[in-house]
Amino acid sequence: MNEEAILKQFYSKISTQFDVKKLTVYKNFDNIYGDTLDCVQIERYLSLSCTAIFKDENGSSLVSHVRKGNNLYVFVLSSDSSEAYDGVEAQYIINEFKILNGKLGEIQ
Amino acid sequence: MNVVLVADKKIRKSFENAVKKSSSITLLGVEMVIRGNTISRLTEHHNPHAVVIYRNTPQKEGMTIRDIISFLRLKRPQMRIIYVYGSVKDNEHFYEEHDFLTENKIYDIITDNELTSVINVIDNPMTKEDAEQIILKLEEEKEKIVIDEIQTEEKEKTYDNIFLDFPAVTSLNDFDQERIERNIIKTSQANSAVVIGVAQLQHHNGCTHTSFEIAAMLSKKNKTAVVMTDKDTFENLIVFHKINPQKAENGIEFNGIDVYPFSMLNDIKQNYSAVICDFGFLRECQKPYYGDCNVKIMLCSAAEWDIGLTMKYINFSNESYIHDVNFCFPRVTRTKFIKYNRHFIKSGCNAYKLNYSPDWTCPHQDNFTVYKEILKPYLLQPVKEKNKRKLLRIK
Repeated sequence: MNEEAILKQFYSKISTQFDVKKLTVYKNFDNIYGDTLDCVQIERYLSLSCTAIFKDENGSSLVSHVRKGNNLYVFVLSSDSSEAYDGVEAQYIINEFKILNGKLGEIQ
Repeated sequence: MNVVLVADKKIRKSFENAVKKSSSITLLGVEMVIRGNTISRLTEHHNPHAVVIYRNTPQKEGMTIRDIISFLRLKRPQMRIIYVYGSVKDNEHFYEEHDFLTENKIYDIITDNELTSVINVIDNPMTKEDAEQIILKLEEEKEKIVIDEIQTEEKEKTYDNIFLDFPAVTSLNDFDQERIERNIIKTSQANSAVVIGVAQLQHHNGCTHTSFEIAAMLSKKNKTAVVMTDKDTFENLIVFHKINPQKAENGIEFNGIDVYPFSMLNDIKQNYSAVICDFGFLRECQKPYYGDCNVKIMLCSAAEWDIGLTMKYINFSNESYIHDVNFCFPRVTRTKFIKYNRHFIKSGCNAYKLNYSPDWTCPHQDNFTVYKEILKPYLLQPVKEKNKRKLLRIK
């Protein structure tokens, strides 16, 4: 399975289980899945030292990194709801990232 | 009473032995490092009656003792927190810690390293008066001490809430996926006239250029003015356009942007949606004006020999608005900026990278995005038409 197919599968799984409307993935500085982000957003997301949830009146975004070899994947999960990713939901999503990490490893 | 110890591993053994002698205390567990999961371990895994926290417990992943205490107060207000400060060497530091603890209604504060004192406090909680007594005692002792060198004390002044340091640009890219940080982005706030202060910590970082770039961006939809604090820069601009300085003292207009000397700021403010104050190199006397600006932009150099200046400004500045300042870095690579930005984010400061943009009338697209992001919380209001000032127009 190639990278795009893995991400597609990941998105369909995560969007059915959680309140995720959009998935954006950057590999290093390049957009490989979903919408493109502006320079401020991508620089901020690349600078994170841990998983972060950003909330505003329009919704929430969960941002996390997955490192595979020399590649850094930045995942941005956006939701329309400002209550998304509250409580243990974020922990479950992180577990999904771990599973995805293994799958991405298979294509390296 | 069920107790959890949060302390360095050196204390663990002796504490366990001391607890064994007490029949009323059960030690549920020991946390030897403060990290992302410490709160959940304390509240969900152990859930004790009391937590004994030693001041010198190692801290990792950006978590501090203060974070732990604040979270515990929020999540488990009934849980007792016993704070072991140890012997007081720096009174000022202790007073700050004491204030923080008493504000959080923590009065079990131990100021020695004796385990018997800790066991005693676990069994007999301290009161607010007991906590106040510690301060009074220290004050009495302080009066007895003859201070020889006042200057050395002043040097030790630090800004507690911000920790910003750049050990090396080549520091490791460690990412803790399991730790979650929650950020709430400020909602919009309306202002009749947004005053944007642009300053720099060193000369020639592009303060005036940035001010005009922002003005160029805003002037497309709003009535915008640039106010220059530096008389020389204003005069140089006039001279360049071959204008009589006397004619220009009430302002000039070029490229759709009105430009005024700083003395006119209060007179013209109400006529514009946005006023950009170009402070240039931020001098001590200008700081109050800069502090009053709705949006504060600080241009900094990212060079290894200059970044220390930014660090000093953030760590040692007494300004309460330091978290509201938007630090902008021109002339920096993306990789280097990301490494610096990591420290800024950890310290709760906002940093942005500016791109090479030689023509201020047509700024780089990424700079547009940066300025938009900075101004996002502000809604620019259209100004009501007033008597128009007649400005000298440069064609």
